[in-house]
Parts: sequence; C-alpha cells; structure tokens
Amino acid sequence: MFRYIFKRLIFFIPVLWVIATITFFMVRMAPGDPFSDEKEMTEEVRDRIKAYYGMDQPLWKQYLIYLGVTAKEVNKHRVTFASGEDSKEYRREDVNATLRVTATAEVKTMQGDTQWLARFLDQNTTTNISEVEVFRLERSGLLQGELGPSFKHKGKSVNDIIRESFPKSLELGLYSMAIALFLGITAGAIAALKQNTILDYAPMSFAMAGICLPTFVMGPLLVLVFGLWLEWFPVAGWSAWGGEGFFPEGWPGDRVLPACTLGFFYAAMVARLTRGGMLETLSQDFIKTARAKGLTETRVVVKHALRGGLLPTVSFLGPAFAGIISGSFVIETIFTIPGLGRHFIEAATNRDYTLVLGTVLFYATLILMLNLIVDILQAWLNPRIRAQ
Amino acid sequence: MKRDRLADVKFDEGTSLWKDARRRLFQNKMAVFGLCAFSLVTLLSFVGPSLLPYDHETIDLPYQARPPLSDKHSFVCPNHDYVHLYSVDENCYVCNTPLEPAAIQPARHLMGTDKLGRDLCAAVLRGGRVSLAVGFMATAVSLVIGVIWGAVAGYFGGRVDQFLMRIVDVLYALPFLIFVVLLMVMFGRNFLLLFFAIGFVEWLTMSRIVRAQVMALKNQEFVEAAVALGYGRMRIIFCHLLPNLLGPVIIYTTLTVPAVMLLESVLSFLGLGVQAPDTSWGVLIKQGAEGMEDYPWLLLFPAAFFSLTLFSLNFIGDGLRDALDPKSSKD
Amino acid sequence: MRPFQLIILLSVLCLGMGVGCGKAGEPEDGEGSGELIEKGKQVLRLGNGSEPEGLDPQIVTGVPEHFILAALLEGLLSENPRTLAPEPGVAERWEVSKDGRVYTFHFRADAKWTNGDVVKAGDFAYSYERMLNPEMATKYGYMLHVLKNAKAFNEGTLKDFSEVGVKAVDDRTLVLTLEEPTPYFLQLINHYSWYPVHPPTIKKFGGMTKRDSQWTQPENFVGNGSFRLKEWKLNEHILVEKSPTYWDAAKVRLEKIYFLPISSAETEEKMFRDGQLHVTQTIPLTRIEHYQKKEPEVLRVDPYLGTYFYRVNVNHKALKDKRVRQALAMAVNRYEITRFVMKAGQIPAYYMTPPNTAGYTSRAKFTFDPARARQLLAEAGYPDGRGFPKIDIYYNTSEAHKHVAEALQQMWKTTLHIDVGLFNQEWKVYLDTVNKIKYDVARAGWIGDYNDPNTFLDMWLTGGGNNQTGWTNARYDQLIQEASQASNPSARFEKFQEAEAILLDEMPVIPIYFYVSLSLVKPTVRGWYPNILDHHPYKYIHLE
Repeated sequence: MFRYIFKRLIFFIPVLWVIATITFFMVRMAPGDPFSDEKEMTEEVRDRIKAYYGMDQPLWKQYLIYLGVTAKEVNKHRVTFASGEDSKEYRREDVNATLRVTATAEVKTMQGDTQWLARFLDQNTTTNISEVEVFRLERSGLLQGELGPSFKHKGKSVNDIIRESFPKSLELGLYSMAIALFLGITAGAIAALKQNTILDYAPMSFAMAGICLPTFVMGPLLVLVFGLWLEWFPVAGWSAWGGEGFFPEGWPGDRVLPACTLGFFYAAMVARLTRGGMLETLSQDFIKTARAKGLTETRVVVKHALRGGLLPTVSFLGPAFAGIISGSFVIETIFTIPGLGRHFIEAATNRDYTLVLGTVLFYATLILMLNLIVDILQAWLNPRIRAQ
Repeated sequence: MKRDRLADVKFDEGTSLWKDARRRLFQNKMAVFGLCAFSLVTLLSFVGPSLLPYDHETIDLPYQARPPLSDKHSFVCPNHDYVHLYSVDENCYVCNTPLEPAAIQPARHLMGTDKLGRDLCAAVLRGGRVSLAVGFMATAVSLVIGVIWGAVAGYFGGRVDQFLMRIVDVLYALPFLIFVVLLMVMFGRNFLLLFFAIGFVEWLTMSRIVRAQVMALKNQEFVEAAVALGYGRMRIIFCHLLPNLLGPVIIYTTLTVPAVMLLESVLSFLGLGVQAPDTSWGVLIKQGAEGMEDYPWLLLFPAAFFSLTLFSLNFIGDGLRDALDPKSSKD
Repeated sequence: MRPFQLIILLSVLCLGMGVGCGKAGEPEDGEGSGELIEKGKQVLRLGNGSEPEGLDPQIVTGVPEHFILAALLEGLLSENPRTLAPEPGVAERWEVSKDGRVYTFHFRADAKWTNGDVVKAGDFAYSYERMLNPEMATKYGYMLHVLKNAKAFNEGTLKDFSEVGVKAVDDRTLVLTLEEPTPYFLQLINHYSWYPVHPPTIKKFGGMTKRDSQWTQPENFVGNGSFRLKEWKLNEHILVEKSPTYWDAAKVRLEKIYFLPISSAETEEKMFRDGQLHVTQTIPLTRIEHYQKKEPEVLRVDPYLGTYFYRVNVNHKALKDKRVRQALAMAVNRYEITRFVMKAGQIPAYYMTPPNTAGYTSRAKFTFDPARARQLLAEAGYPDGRGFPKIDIYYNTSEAHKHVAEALQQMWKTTLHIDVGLFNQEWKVYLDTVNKIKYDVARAGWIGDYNDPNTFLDMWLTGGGNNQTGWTNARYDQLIQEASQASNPSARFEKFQEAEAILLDEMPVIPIYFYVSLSLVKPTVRGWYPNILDHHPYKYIHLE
C-alpha cells in the first residue's frame, strides 16, 4: 500500500512538468499580451516593459528561466553616461553583481565592492562606453519553488496571491462539500431504497431542479430571496472570523448563501449518482445474501449497499472536490469573495502568464492528490479493486 | 456505433433482451412521458420558429422588454417613416409633431420581448436547435471517448492504467479558457470546433467513473467465464463489461448534457459558440439571470424549456437503465 | 419506520434553518442583513470596480486606481469638487509667465509626507524624472510631454534630465517650463501621472526604475494625501484612514474609506441595497429603469468626458471610400440607442469631442439621415447595397456592447441593405485585433485624460498609438500641431474646429454617444458633487 502511494507520489513530478510545459507554451501562443490596455502604448514602451520581465529573451530561454534551470538577471540597473563624461561614481550594496558593458559587449563579474563601477572604469580604459548594465544573476523558478511575480497585480508574487486567496476558497469549499455530501448522499440513498415511491420522486425532482439551475441563476436567486427580501443573510462580501460579524458570536453570515449555492449544485449531482450506484448494488447477489443472513436493514444498507453504491460518486468527487476547494469563478464573482477561483479566470483573461501557470500548477497538484486519495478510497470501498 | 454493440449484447445474453428492454421501457410511465416531452421540445425547436409570426432577429427597440402577451399598438410620425413608438403621449423625436396610429399588428408576443424588442418565443425555440445539437453532439463525443478510455484503463490496469489516467490528470489541469482562445486562433470561428472544445473537457470525469466500475467488475465471475472461453480482451470489454456499466454511465451522461449546454454559453462569451443574433438556451438563461428581478420572463421561459428537456432526458435515462439492466433480466 | 426517520431528519433540518434564521434575524434593524454602514461614524464605503493593478501612480493607468490614489497622494494643485477649477494643493500659490510657457509653484511649508518629511520641490522633480525615465517605461509618460524636452528624454534620445523643463529652484519653489503654451496645463497636472512619490521610499525599495516595487504595500507606503494606506487585501478591500500629517487635515471629515473591488455590477447594486456600500461605481443596465422610476433620489446621472464610437478600418476594400463610412454613420439611429439600449440619458453623438469640453463644442456635425445614407452608398457604387461585401462588427464581450452592436447590425441591414455580421472577442484578443487593424468595424470608447478637446483629437494623428484605424491626413496633423502652438485660446479652438470638421468628413470613426457617469449614492453622503471627470475629492465629503 505505502509502496503504491510512494510510487504515485513520485509520478507527480513528471506529470506536473508536462503540465507546466504545455501550459507555458499555450499561454505564450495565445493572442494578446499582459500589458495591452484600452489606451495603447508605443512599441518602445511595450518592449521595455517586456524586457523588464525578461520577455525579451528567446522563448526557450524564458522557459528554462521559469523552470529555474537557467539564471535570470535581477535588479538590473542601467548606468548611462552623458556625452563627455568618462567616469561616474555609482554605489551598489549588491554583492555578486555582474557588470555588462554595452559598447564592447564584455561581461565582467565583480564582487563585494560598493564602488566597483568607478573602479571598473579606472581599470578599463576602454573609450566610448556609453552604457553599463549592473545586475545580479539569480536562479529562481519552479525548482526553487518560486512561481514568479504577477504581471497584473504589481508588487505581488504568485506565491503570495495563492497563499492569500486559497484559504478563503478552501473554507467555502469545505462548507459546500459538507452540504453536498450530506444532502446528496442522504437523498440519493433514500431514493434508491424507496425506488419508485414518493420518497424517490420528491428528492430526485429537487435534485433535477438543482441541476437545471446553474450557479449563476441559483446564486442571484438565493441572494434576492434570502438576502434582499427576507434579509436573513448578507448578499455578498467576506468578513473575517470573530471580526465585525453579522451574528452575535462573530460568526460571519456571509458564508451561508455562497456555500448553499455551490453546495446545492453538487448535492444534486451527488444525489443522482448515489441513487444510481445504490440501485446497482442493491440488485446484486451479495446484498440478497446479506439480507438472507438476517442482518438488520440498517446494517445491510450502511455496511454493504452504501459502500458499493458510492463508487461512482467517489469517482466523481475527486475532480469535483479539487474544483470546489480551488474556488468557483462564478460564485466568487457573484458574492465578491477574494478566493482563488477568480484568479483562474482573471489570470487567463489578463494574460497574466505567471499567474496562469501558478494557478494551473496549484490546481494540478490538487487534482493529482485528490485522484490519488480517490483511488485509495475506492480500494477501501470495494474489495475487488483492493486486490489489485 | 453504440447501437451495434448493444446488438451484440443481445446475441450473447439471450435473444429476448432487446425486445424485453423495449417492452419494459414502454411500460415505464415516466419514461414514456419523457419521450413524449422530449420529442415535443425537439419538434418545436426545429419546426416551431417557422410557424411563428415573428422571427428571432428583428429588433424593435421602442418595444423592448414587454411582458408576455403584450399588445402591440404602434404610432408613427407622418414626416419621418423611421420614427415609430408605442406610446400615444409622445411626439416625434425629430420634428416633435404628434404621432399617428399605425396599423395594429394583430399577433401578440407569446413570451414577451427581450431587451432589444425581439420576440422571445422565437429566440427560445431557435435557441433549442443550438442547445440540443451541442448537447447531443458534445455529449456523444465525451461519452465515446470517456467510456473507451476508462474501460481500457480499468481493464488493463498497471502501466496502461497509470499512463492513461495521468493523461487525464494533465487534461484536467490545463487552462480551458486559453485552450479555447488558441483553438479559435488556429482554426477560426467554426461550429464543429465547439463540439470538440466541449467534448475535450467533458469526457474526463466519465473516464474516471467508468474506470472505477470496470476495476470493480473485472474480477467477477462472468468476466472470468468469458476469459476462460477464450474471448478477446476487446470483446470482453465491450460485450461483457460495458452492459454492466450502463447504470452509472447513463446517469453521468444525463448530468453531462446540462453541463455541456451551459458550457456552450461560456464559449459564446469567448467568441466561439453561437454569434448574435443567433442564440442558445445557455446564452438566454445567462442574460435572463442578469435581469431576473425586473424582467423575470426573460429567465423563466428559456429556463423552463431547458428544465423540461433535462427532466425528460432524465426520465428516459432512468427508464433505459432499468430496461437494459442485465441483472434485472435475471429476476 | 423509515419514513418516520425521514420526517425527523427533515424537521431537524427545518429547525436548524429556523434557529439559524432566528439568530440571523435578531441584530437587524430593517436596513438590510449585510448592514456594514456604521451609523454616526465617518466611514465611507465605495464600490470601486475592478481590483487596482497597483498603487504606484507612475505605473497604473486605470480608473479604479484613480479613486484610491486621489485619497493617498496630492499633486501640486487640487481641484474644486464642483467646477474642477485649480485650487491650492501642495503649492499654495502659482504664477504663469506672460507667454504661458513657464509655471512657478510656491510650496506651502506645512505639506508633509505621512512619515513626517516635508514635501519638497525636489520630490516632484524626482517623480517627474521617474515618470519620464525610459527605463521605467511608463504608459502615461506622454502626459508629461508638454514639459520642455520631456519627449526626447522619455524616448531616450536625451540623456540629461537637467535639460528637461523641471527645475527645483529651492525646496519650496518648482519651476516648470513647457514646450508650448498649454492652456489646460493646470487641469492636466491633476491627473495622477503628475502625483509625487516619496524619493527615499522609492530608493529604499529597489530604486527609481523598479516597476514591481514593494513600496506600495501598506507597511511601506508613504504618501502626502489626505488619507494614508492602512490595509490592502487583494480582491477584498483597500482601507485608507485620515492622515494626521496632511496640511489640510482640519477640513477632512471622513475617518476611513473602504474601496471595494466589485467587478460585477449586479452584485454591486445588491450590496448597495443591502447597506454595504455608500456609493457604487456603476449600475447594471437592467436596473436603470427601476431607479429612474422608483428611487430617483439615489440615482446619479452626470455627463462624463467620454465618447463611445466605432473605429472603421480605412484600408478595407469597401470602407476605404469615405462615402461608405459616411453612409454607415448616417444610418445609425442614435436616439433609439441612447434611449432604449443605454437608457441612462447618454447623449447621441454627431461629432467626436463631447459637447462643451472646456468650452469647446464642434460646429461641424453630421445627422441621422437614412435617405442620404442610401444615396451616399449608391454614389460609392453600391446602389441598394448591391455588391457590398459582408462586413463584421467586432466588439469585446459585454452585454451593453453586444446590444449596441446588434442594434447597429439591424440598422445597417435594414437601411442600407448590406450584410453585416457580429464578432465578439475576449478582451485581450479584441485589443490585439484592434491594435493590428484586423477588423472591419470595431467598437471603442475613449475617456478624456483631461478636460480639453486635445485629448479627443490628437489621437487621430498619423501613426498615433491610439489611432488604430489606418487613417492619415496631412492637413489634420498640421492643424493639431498648429493648435498646440497657438497662444490665443480662441485661435486654438478654431484650429480644433477645422480639424474636427475634417475628421467628421473623412469619418474614420463613427461616434455613437457621449458617456454619462452612473452611480447610486446614499442620501447620507454629502459633498459628492457631479463633474465631468467624475472626480470626487474626499476632503469635501462627509456622512450624515
């Protein structure tokens, strides 16, 4: 068992690498660039901005830099000389800085000196130096765990953005999942046990209604009814726990409507799948055997029927769970939740290359983990799979 | 293709299964209701628009957002033929002379008009064409790929399974939006692309469900018996395992149809999908949702058609599952 | 037994909900469940559109950023909240030379940064150098090109900043020398691209040209405005609080302002009704009629310095004939579009520059005339639309743009009998299409950077970055050039009149309507005055 899990975990690395590679080249091929705007800039400005983010390099090199294999130039400064000036004092605290002289295309490394530019010019009597670039070479990329700076949210790194926004999506996702599992499995199981009675039709009709009402209809509907007409819950927002809450205990009530919107939608799917799976299992021989053995109905249902019947639900839940906890764009937009889900879509529409890659890799890791958990869970639910 | 394989099933498991299934299907009242309702919706979508007095394209701005069954009394300016309004109180906005009543148009808008004064009924029926086509084509694509992929992965297991399932993981993670934009750039605006783009994402979960079911089933006695009889692997997968997977597959398929129809509205947002003034249920519902407080009928009617279709599909799906269940035939 | 269990289950669920609701119901006082507006406190909550790209005045380009920066920083002058006339800001007085080319600003002694430093003339000089530094590659660098030699420095041909027309004579005197007399200069410097930054802070966080510097983070930010940055939570809110170091702090009555990035107009409107916002950024199209009829007291509709128009690709095989372009323009019923599609009182546009922009209104105008449009099309060789190739209308996906495009499609089809398609594109793809002029007809909007006709007319110069139609006209270029050199305001406007007449005759663009700014404002908000730039200086605002 542990060997199996270990093997799967090792497999994560090539899979993530493949995803990173495909995504990297995909976003670069898409039309539009991260810096374009309604008000156009001149080509020079665009080129300089691109150069600032290292996008003037050939694509393969940018790829290697992104992976963290090749070093990139950071903290680049350009020292320019006015005509007639032949030396300039320039102080830098940066150790390990590299110096590039444009006129001669010569690259020199000088270390641990705060006045080295002046010294460099003393030592080199090269004439016609007009420009000197000073930068530090640094490897920081995927291998170092750095996802890079966001192009859109200036001054924020992709790591920061994910760190800030994921907990919010996770919190909401867990509530929704609890609602979905509780309502879905209960309704599905009852419907299967009471097939073709009112107890089957009623919950299944609700489930169908839940499927027919997509979240962008359900959300505003709940907001209208419970937020604006009945005034039970706030219509949107995301307040802190224990802070200026809406409930006496500091329990933030703004979680209720988004969690229900998302929860009901998945509950409907879970209910349908559970019912189907249960029906399948209930007609199998071992259930008849179990009943014949005289086991109580509860035991038959919970221990045997539910275990087998949940198989399709569990297969569905792996990816669905990853989707829920990494946030839903629609829900987070309707309820203005500062979660991760918005970044998935907004990063793509903004062509924020690093943020797209960062969110995709993060989501990929979630998917891989959850599909692994699901495979283990399936083995536990079904002895026949376990044997393999 | 699928039908042929089901025919094989019949040959393997007894001559009366197919006939039995049909009999059982037609005994199921809900399934029959579903079939009728679904046929009606399809018929209305494809034939209905030509029977209506209005088309879905003609914009009539002054007559915008009228509730269902509103009257249509038009007034025109005697000097400017393009000035027509629907209120007696107003004068011509060019020359400010009083308006004169125009010939009354007898036909009312059955479902009211949308925000640009177009007939909603025509739009809903028209939208059905696109939605049904997308719903079926894309679902079929995802069904075929998903079932084959999952069944092969589940049955062979080991390295094959690892390889196939990791591809699924990769595809789950790729950014869909960028993918669609790239497709558009490479192939231009193309309706076939729509099926491909949607099918591309929707088969993944199906394959995982099928894989799990196959893994659970493949060590059961009837499979062992087939192996002992020396049948080929493909034959075992498609003739022996697949019929036993029908339950979850049908259910997940009925869940895929709405997802696909709604995904189409997202693609329309990106410029793939239908282009205005053509429309689809997904697009209509999305637009309706934005004004549900002030113009509820704009949401209500498309949503009603959408739901009716899904409900009936669902009943048909349940009926089919019960009818085709190889285990229940043993009872 | 089983149904019984189910009944229990259901009743527990209902009870749970009931209890939850009961709890939720208690603290309410009828204003809405999400009531976040604190009564009696001077805390303003503003809907602010999308999340700001950043808070570095020399980097950002958007409108949401403007609303926040206007609280955090103050330029040389400030503006009257009603008329936008210049008022003392960091400079307590200023002088203009006779030829209108040299402006001298005298700084007040008590203008301070939030860390206590005095705001010096050198800080502004540093900020302008940063703005114009080619390394910095600022998008709004062109706003400062009115300064002498600024363009050359910005483009890298001039290396020495001391030759640019910015001179800090001493700590309290700044002399700005302009390339040409620029009558709108005092308006222009209220744009945030002219705001100062605190040089020591910039240096501390990576130097003058670091684009993604950390200095804008709340713990690092040093500003000189009436408010200081307190919290910045991505996609959640930006919180600013009253700055005690601000020179006019006695006048500032608000204690805190929350800027909430709410990208969905529907959500914003619901939050406003729920009592979570004082002011919204916009109103969803579907709700306008409701507010016009039922709650006109909270609805604010004010003229706004912007034009909604369509660009025409003048290199297109049919559209290169100006008669065709005129025909397209004349076939659009703008009255119906503004009244029935946009609904909020937008003004039909029959010329490019919004009426009464700094006192300028175009004399040249075209009219809505279907008969003349048909005639022009026939003259161009397409009688009754015969032989006219199919053209596509390109627009970026949005409900309003779609409605306008659909209306235009229908108007052109029925009036001119030509085949028109629609093509919506995702934002960045659309920008790419327009920039590369790969469209036939494309929707566009232009919001003036400052209150002067120049901002609407100089974009159509040959090769201008925002021209994007392929249109060039030597006479037009010359007129705009002459206008910038004219010293006499009325002579200057005459040049603009002539230029705009050429533009409207050539029709590389089809104006549709002039924008209005739309928002919902709670009646408790005082001092929120309408003006053409939608600027609302916070020091005049308070709550009741």
